[in-house]
Amino acid sequence: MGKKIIIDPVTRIEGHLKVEVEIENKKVVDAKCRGMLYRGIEKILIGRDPRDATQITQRICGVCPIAHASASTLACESAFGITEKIPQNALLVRNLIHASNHIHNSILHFYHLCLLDFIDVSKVKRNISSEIDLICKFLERDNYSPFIPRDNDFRLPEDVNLRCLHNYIKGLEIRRYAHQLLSIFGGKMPHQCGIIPGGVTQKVDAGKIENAIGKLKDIKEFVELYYFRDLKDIAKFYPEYFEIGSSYGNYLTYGVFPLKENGEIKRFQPSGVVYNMEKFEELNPDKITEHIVNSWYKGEIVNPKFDSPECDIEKEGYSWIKSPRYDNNVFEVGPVARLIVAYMKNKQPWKEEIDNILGEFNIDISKLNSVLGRHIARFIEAKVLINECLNWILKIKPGDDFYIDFEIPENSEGIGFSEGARGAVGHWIGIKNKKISNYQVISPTTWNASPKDKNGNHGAIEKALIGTEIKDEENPVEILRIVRSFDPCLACAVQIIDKKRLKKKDFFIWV
Amino acid sequence: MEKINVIWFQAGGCTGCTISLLNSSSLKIKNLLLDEIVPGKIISLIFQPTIMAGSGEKVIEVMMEESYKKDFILVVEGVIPTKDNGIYGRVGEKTFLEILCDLAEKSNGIICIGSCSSFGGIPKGSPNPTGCKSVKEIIDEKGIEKKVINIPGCPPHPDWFLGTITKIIANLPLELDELNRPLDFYGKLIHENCPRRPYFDKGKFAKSFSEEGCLYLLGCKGPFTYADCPIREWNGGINWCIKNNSPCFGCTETEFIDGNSPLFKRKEIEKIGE
Repeated sequence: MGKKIIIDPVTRIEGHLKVEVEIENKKVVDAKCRGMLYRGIEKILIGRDPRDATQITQRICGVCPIAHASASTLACESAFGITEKIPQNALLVRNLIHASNHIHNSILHFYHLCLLDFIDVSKVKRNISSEIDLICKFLERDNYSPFIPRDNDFRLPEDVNLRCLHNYIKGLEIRRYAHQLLSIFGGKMPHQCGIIPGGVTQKVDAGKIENAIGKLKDIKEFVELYYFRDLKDIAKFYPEYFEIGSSYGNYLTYGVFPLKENGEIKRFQPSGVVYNMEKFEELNPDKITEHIVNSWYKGEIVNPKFDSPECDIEKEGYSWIKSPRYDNNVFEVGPVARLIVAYMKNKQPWKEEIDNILGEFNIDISKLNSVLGRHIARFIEAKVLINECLNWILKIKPGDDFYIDFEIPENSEGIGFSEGARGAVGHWIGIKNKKISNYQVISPTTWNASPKDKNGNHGAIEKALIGTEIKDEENPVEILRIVRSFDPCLACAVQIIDKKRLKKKDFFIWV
Repeated sequence: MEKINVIWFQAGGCTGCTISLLNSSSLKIKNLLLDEIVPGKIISLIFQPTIMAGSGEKVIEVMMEESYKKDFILVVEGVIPTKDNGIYGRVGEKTFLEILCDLAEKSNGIICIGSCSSFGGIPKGSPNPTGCKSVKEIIDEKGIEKKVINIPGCPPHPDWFLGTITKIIANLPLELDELNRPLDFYGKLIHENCPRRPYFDKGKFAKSFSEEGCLYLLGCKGPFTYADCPIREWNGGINWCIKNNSPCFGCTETEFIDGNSPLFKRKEIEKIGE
């Protein structure tokens, strides 16, 4: 047995994650992702009014609440039989709410969750900008929290480091604009109140349109100018991260941002499945199962539509995360999945923008399957969505409907598919006597952070870790950079808990 | 320069309270992290898992070591699961329950940010699968005598937290209600300041979201909810729930979620506005 490195907690992600890797000859030979929090939100939903699900499920996650609000609302609407009747205005407003959150997430993830792995806060010069000045004064006080302790692998030249640091601070403000944009349509953020089954609560008037365009312009300037340059420099000085952190090359997306086109609902980011970076297939939801062979539940494979397996703590296994699989294969979900599917479907403006940015980085599309690839994918999404928001805003027809009334059926069931910034979100709802009788959520991080399945295949993050060379075992930045590139959201993986304590500690290095 | 040490402990939550704080637009997050909050006084954020640079045992060690050496304010985000000895939430090989008790004992006082740590919030909703309790319930049970300030809301408005901490740092008196909420922010019912109050008084009630009117029949809990959302508004004064034509769900109250669910159904009024 090799050396074991345990990182608990992995910070600068959403929620409580513990990562264990085993190292032989400086290479990761085995990896385990374990979630550390279970709240049982699905159980809390049973017996409630189905309309409450939108508000309750978005509280699964304060970083990506909109994905759950959307999936839940779509699940309700499919169960109520009103999917086709939702007004176009409502779809447009929902898309604006949803896209603002993806834009917020791209900025938050790159600047505030990841950049501290690459920039050195302690190397600053005075009077470059008011933002840098603030940091100088901060450092002079001899108080470095929360920027120490930290891991060390800083390579940026002084001027680039300073610019990135400036934009770390500036980004705090720009990210806030994205939530203000959301709040114009969604009431407040986090945990918006605009999206409800039947449409959206509020009509949009000219004042809101003007206000939203103003916010978008500010965000657009920052993203296209600074975000792009900073990302390019990180790629330039850490080029090996185009080779590090590759998973299987299998991608799955449910698609997101539905709109009516000639009477038919189509998604601006289309759904689909890609095998091994090359074979495209249309999504067939019946092929989704959850493997639980390494999870502490009774059974081996379950179907989210019908089954809610009982716990089994005696069972051999290492996680409470189930392993969602598509056609029994492991898939990565998230921004890269959405981009590759859109690319293969020749969907514009995605294809053009992807080609353009890949050209700027001088890489081919296969390189998106890496740490840097995931960062680049998030940037591309932010850029395209900002422009599309400007289009959506102008398509709103203020005089038309934003909401339709409906009856909750006695008994029914529904599925809602959407996407969080970090990947595919599916909600399954069962209704009996107008109340919720069954509710299941498969969140993106369960796809990405899942344990080994029945066929012995690791989940996507585990796969991305295995084979990685760890240069300095006391300072395993590679592991953290890989895990963070997936933008894991542990609160979303609601099923997970870690009940087993590790017994042997002889080989542990605490990191 | 006086340093006020803060340990921000994330328990069973969704990180929404942290994100809400990042959205602050009066005193900005950069000021909180890097600047003097009031002249001559800074906050030293020893531990904040969403923002801090380090990971793993290193940061847990710092949190534990510093907590022995220094005076600090403990901020708790998220609920504490207690069923099965609290195994449902753990970090750094310890349960949230163990860490909370340890830190609470050593702290100078506790600020609960959000409805989860204040009252239990959504995770405490029936059937409360993990036996969640609020911070106050736990420290009372364990006999830990510390001052607790609750800043409920799902999430709370950033000003409610920052205003409270500014007052503490500046040594200004802070008046709390019987639920330990600062009266500065939770002193009046939503209903008292609601811009749709004239509709209510005239009996003009919306029966669908496509109608204009008071949202009471659509489930608005404004008549039962203490918070200053109508005058403060959210995300830098852009909007808030009722302005967005959405009912108030009463997220700053102990009734959130069971007492206020179904969210879209009217709750009977016994007395209003006192």
